[in-house]
This record gives sequence, structure tokens and C-alpha cells, in this order.
Amino acid sequence: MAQISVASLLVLSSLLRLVFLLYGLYQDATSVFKYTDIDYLVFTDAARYVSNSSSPYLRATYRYTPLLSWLLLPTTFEPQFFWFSFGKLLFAAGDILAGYLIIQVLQIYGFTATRAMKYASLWLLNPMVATISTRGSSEGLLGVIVVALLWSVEKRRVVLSGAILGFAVHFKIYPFIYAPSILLWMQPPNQPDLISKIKGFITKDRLVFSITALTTFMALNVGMYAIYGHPFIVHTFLHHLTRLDHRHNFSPYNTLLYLKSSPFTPDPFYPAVNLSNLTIERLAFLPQLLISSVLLPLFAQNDLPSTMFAQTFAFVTFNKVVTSQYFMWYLVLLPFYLGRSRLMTKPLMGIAALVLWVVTQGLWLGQAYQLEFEGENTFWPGLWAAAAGFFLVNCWILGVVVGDIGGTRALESASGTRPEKATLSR
Amino acid sequence: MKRRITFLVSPQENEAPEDALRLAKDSFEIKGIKAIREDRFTLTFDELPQFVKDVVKQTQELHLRFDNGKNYDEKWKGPFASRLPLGVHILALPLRESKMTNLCSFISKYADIPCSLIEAAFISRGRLRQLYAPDANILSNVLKPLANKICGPSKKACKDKVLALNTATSLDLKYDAKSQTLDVNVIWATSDGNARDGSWDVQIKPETPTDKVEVGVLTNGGKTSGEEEISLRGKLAVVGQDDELNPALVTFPSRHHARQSIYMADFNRPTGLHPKLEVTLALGGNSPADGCTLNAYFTVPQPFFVDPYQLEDEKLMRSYGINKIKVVEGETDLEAPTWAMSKWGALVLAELDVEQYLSTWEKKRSPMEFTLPLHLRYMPTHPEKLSETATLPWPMVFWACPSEQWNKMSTNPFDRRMLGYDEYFPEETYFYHLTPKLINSTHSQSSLEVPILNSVDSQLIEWGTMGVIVVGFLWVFGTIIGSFLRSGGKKAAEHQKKE
Repeated sequence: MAQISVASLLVLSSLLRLVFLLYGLYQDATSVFKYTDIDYLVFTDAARYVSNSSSPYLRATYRYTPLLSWLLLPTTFEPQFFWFSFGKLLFAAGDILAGYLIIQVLQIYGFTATRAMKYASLWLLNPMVATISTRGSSEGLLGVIVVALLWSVEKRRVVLSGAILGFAVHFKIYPFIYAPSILLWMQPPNQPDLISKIKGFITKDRLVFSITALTTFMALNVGMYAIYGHPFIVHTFLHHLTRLDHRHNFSPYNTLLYLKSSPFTPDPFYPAVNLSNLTIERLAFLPQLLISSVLLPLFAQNDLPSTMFAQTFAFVTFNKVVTSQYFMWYLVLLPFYLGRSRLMTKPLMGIAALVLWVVTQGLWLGQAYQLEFEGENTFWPGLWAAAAGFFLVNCWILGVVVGDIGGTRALESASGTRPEKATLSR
Repeated sequence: MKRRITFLVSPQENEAPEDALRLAKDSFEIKGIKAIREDRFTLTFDELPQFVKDVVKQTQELHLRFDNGKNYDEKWKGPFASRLPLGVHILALPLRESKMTNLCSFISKYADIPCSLIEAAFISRGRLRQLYAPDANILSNVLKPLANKICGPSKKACKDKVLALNTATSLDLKYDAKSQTLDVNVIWATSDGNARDGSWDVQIKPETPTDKVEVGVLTNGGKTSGEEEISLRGKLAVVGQDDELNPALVTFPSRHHARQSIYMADFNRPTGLHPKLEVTLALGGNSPADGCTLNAYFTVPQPFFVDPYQLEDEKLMRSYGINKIKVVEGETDLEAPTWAMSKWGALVLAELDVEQYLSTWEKKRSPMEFTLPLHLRYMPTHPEKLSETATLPWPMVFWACPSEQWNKMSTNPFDRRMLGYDEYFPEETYFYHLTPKLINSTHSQSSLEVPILNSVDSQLIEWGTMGVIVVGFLWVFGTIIGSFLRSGGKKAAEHQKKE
């Protein structure tokens, strides 16, 4: 990469998004195939309800915090042809800010500005990221929240970190997995062995962080509940716990969920054969949470951002529902991990991982296309096998990641410089 | 019980020969007449069987309609122009706060339509409740147990009469609490087969000497002065009372008229999980009157559903030939599978973009087309099937025109209201109905196959999924444990070195 300044990289990324946004407006105006994401219509409809002083939950399938619909209130302003796209601008701006913070945090870890920009470009100049936010998907906002969390943790802003985490969990639940990592990472230097670590676990920082996180989270919930009542709880939280999710998605569980949620007709040739009482779908959260929020946080002291990347990757991989928007959740953390990864130092392995990830995903998409648009029955074994293959590839990649962050004590092996973490007690 | 029988002879048919109609002292004989036949029975509340009383006494107004979805052929339909999507349509207005539990148990007992509660099975339109079942065979299934119930087990003649309704093209039951009467209207497009070519050979007799049966054999009375009027001429007689046939010429404004335009519908292929019903109309180049709109009334049963938000997108709808969607009512949950649904589906009333079509008619001279975008719910798994057949009835397509004689419509002896769509138009409206044209099919409906998960390998799916998850989990778990052990070992080694 030629030597360019951070400012020009940000301008370039903004231009990229602006072009995508304008193209989207053009496509929406001229074609019946919409560029704008369906969810964006959900958000903006919800914002319209809010602007009429009613509840955003009057919009079917609005399953988010009311804050999102408040943020998008300007999309209801006149003239519509301008203000309607406000949300997309906001999401794109969130992207850029996330990218900027990625550069900042990477430099805390001793990356040179140029090298930080190179890795941040994975996010900033990624056409997939630019497309998702300019189509009006809110996942990019989450990216900026998570990187801001990382930034404030690294900057030792304990209260701010707690507040951001509380806000993030209110916004989209899953960031709760970062709580144990951050807590473990806040390790005082004067505790050499396990026993002293356990004895001295409760520190001021950890307490302050936990209390601010919990307070922020609960204050937001109580506030929203006071305004919107039961529907807020149902749609923002309970829905995600009770949803059926029988429709096809990338998750390896999806065929099973269809099978188990449907009424069962016994096979006339083997009427005795019934569905087993195996309820792995109900236990799906066990492997998911064990890996993502119990075991992986133990690596947090080695390398917090890479651990967070691994946690997110594991959380999404083992989730009961997986859609491509969830990939954004870990993509924003990828620049922190990739710099020290065997996937970079061993190009063959890196290419294999990328190719396998793309190919198994492509296989699934092919099967899903045949089902959804050609009406061909690909449920079993095609769609199932493709999802299983994608899952196993993800697990293999996760294994590589774990090997990287668990194998070394810190970032030094890749960058050659001591991480800033050495100057912990600042 | 009052009874009125009308034979509507198409003007294209030869005039009925003199000896085709013979009125005797207590009977009326008809031979070799090709006609649409309508029988109308009017029963007072007291004349109703107890179980019917139980149902209707909970309702302010009850309309129960059936349409067999078959062709009327190209016959002249006179005042019988209105049709409905094939199957059963029930519109019920509860009396005060009634839950109409008897209606609910009636339909689940006789029509085998699941109904635990009206609220669970019917869709709500204000106070009105609506149910639809897209089954053309439902009538024959209902009539047998119903005949036993009404007639008792031994009365064969009575049962035959009830079972004769089986072949009806359409059947309407209407009760309202104000008049306390039940009207039963039956229309046969052709004779049910006692003559070779669908013509009628019948002898009509009153049930008892005191019963009156009014019979009319009517045909088109020619041009009328007003667009909204229909004129009928022919012969009338009250059997058992009149000694000879009386010539008749009646003219009345009619809410429903037929239009000589046909339409057909089918899914675009391949259908996938987001099928679209494409309707082609041979509309011709003009509207029947000033200020008319062209509309389509869909009843969309499970497993189909419409996305009301998609239908709100005016630009998209224009591209589908639809000006605007006037009404979407019923079950529009966008995510749930069929087995989580308790209601039958939803109705859609669309106003078609006819202006756009008519403005280019001179140049193109092509048929008009419009499309309704639909989606499919997931359907239950099955051990022997890879798909389920899903059937969508065709919509009714009609012009709605501003009426001047609307307040005289009720003088029409064949008037028909509360069909499911007319309530959405102002009272000052009359209709021109287009005729569905059936090619290679016997009913006005289109079907497609919905892929479902075959559950014959359910064990394999369960254990296979478990296996994959376990393998993936163990792999990750193993690398995590391995990392701990290695770093632990390293630490120990470092420790030793230092010492």
C-alpha cells in the first residue's frame, strides 16, 4: 500500500460508501429489485410509529431496542427523498468510526500507522461491509460499539467501558460474552500464581466495571420498559429465546429444528420408529456458551481483541440461527487477530481457510437458492450437509485461532514489538 | 316454507318449444330446456331444525356460501353473474357479544374445519368474522351427515332432496335476525344429469297442498334504458294456484352484471418458496362505464401468505399491474409455519392499474396482466412425501362502477350482497364480473408443490446433526485444552530455567 494518511483512508472509505449509497438510490428508483434491506424498512416504519408517539413494536418483526427507532427518527422528516436515507448515512458513519477506532487500537498494540491502516482496510475498504451498512442494516452500528468497547478498555477507562458494554448488551444481547474476557483481562500485575489470583480476584476496577455495566444495562431496560411496557421485553429479549427458527439458515441445527418443531407423522413401514427424545436442540446453548464465554475468555490476558474475535466467531458458529449479517459481528474484530495469525504467516493455510469458508458457504447458498427460488427439495441431505460442512470448516478455523492466541503469551511474535500492555499501570 | 324456482334460458338457445312447459293442476312439467336454474327457499325461524336454530340465534347476520369453481360455460348469466373463489365462505356478525360457539362447533362437526373458538379460526373485520375453506368437495362431505340430521335416518325422499344440492354451482345461506328468516339460494349452471346435454327435464310439485311454488322460465328481455338495469321476459306460474302460464316482463336495477371478458391465472414457474400468481385478462380496450375501477378479490389460504409491507410498496405493485392494494385482512404473520397457524389465511382486495393498460391498448392490443406476489409457509414433515400440494383459488375479477340506482337495488328479486368484497365499496356501487376461463383444468384454481423435509431419515438427521456438533465441539475444545497444557508446560519450563 502506498503511503497515505489516515485521513485520506477515511475519506476514501467514505467515498466508497457514498458511491454505494447513491447507486442504491438509483437501483431502488429504477428497479423492482431493491437495494435497500428489508430490515431498513422495518426500522424506518418503527421510527414512523415513534414519530406519531406510538410504540415501534406496532411494526411486525421489529425486534430491537427502541433506541434504534429513536436514532432513526430523522428518517421520518421532510423532504423524504433526502431524510429517508439518514439511517444509511448513520450506519455508514458508524462503519467509518469503527474503522478509525480499529486504527487507534492497533496502534496501542504497537502497530505502525501504515500497518494499522492496512489491517483496518479489511473493514474500511471491504465492499461487503460497505454494502451491508448502505443497504441499511444496523449490524455496522454494533461494530462501532464493540470496537469502542475495546478502545476504552485498552485506554483504562473503566467506567466508560462498563457503560459501553451495558449499552451493547441492551442493543444486541450477544456482547455479554465479552464481559468475562474483560474481567479476566483486568488482571493486577502483582498476582503471580493461581491462588493469589483467585484470592485477589475482586479488585476496584473489576467492581466498578461490573457495576457500571449492570447499571447501564438495567437502567436502559427499566427505562424502555417504563415507556413501552411488555412488548419491549417480548420483542427485544424473549423473542430471541423462544423463536422457532425452522426456516433454513446457515446453522447446522436448522434441519433438525425444522424436523423437531413440525408435527411428526410416523412412517407407515416402521410405525414404531418415532422421533427420539434427544433434545440436543434445547441444549445447543451449552457448547456455544461453554466455548464462547467460559473457555475462550481464559485467553483474554494473552490477547484481548483476538480473544474477543475468537469468542464472537465461536458464538456465531455454534448459534442455532446463523445468517450472513452475523458474520459482520466478528469481521470487525478480524483486523486485530489477523496480524498475528498463522493464516497470514502460513499463506497456504490462510488461503485454504478462506477458500474453504467461501466454498462451503457457496455450496449452502446454492442449495438454498434451489430450494427457495426453484422449489427443489434440497432440505435433506443437500442443505443439511452444506450447513454441516460450513460448520466444520468454521470449527477448524476456530481451532487455528485458538492455537494462535493460546500458543503465545502476547502479540509480540507477530509484530516483533512488545505490546503496550507492558505499561499497564499508567 | 316459500319456494321459488327460476329457469334462466340463454337468448342464444332456441326459444323453448310450446310443449316444453306444461302446467297442470298440481304440477309444472319442464322438458328439454337448457337453462341456469335457481331455487330459492325461504324459511321462518320456527320452521328451522333445532340445531340450525341454535346456530343462527347467536348471530345478527350470517352468510354461508359455497361456490364449486367450475365453468358457467359461455351462457348468458343475467342477474346470476357474481361468483366467489371456489370453496366455502362464511361471514358472520355476532348477535351482541355472542362468541358464536354453536357456529364454531357446527362447522367443525359437519365441515371438518378445525374451530376451537371463533376468534382462533375466523379472521376479524371489525365486528364481522370471516372464514374461508378452499375445498370444492366440501359440499358433498357436508351434505351426507346433514341430510341424516335434517331428515332422520329413514326418509329417503327428503334425503335425496338434500343430497341433490351436491351438484349445485353455488349455494347461499343467509340469515338475519331482523327478518328472522333463512334464505337458501341454490344455482345449478346445468342440469345434474337426468338429460344428456345438461338440459332440464323436471316435474315440479309442491311438498304439501298448502305449499306454494313459484316457477318462472325467463330469458333476456332485451335492451334496457339504463346501464344498470336487467330486463327479463318469459312465463310465470304459481303451481297449485294458477291455471295457466302468465307472460311476464320485468326490469330492475342489478348490482351484478356479467362482462364478456375472460381471465386465467397460473403461477410463474419455477414457483420456489415465493410464488407469484399471474393473472391474464382479455379485457378489450374500454371500461364498461365512466368512473369504474377494475379490482381483484383474493382469498389466500394456508400455506400461502402475503407480506402486507411488500404490498404497500406502490412502485413494486405498479410493476405487477396493481394500482394499489385496498385491503389486506387476516393472518399475515411473516415467519410462522403452517402448524403454528390457527386461522385459514387472509383476504386481499387489489385495485388494478387499468388506466396504464387502457392508455396503451390502441398500440399494443395485448391482454392485460397482473401479478400477486405470495410466499409459502413451511409445512409439516412427512415420511412418504417430498412435497405437499398447495392450491390457491383464482381471484374474482370485476369492475366496480358508481351507481345511480343504488337505492333501488334491493328491488332486484335476485339481489346478492355481503359476498366478502362488496362491503369494501360504497353502497353506490354496481359490478361487472369477468369470467374465469378454465383450460386444462376443471376448477378455477392453481396448484403448486411445496417442498417439505422428508422425515424417513429422521433418526439419521438427529444423530447426524448431533455427530457433527460433537465433532466440531470436540475439535475446538481439544485445541483449547491443548493450548492450556502447552502454555502451562512452557511456563513450567521457563520457571525451571530461571531457577
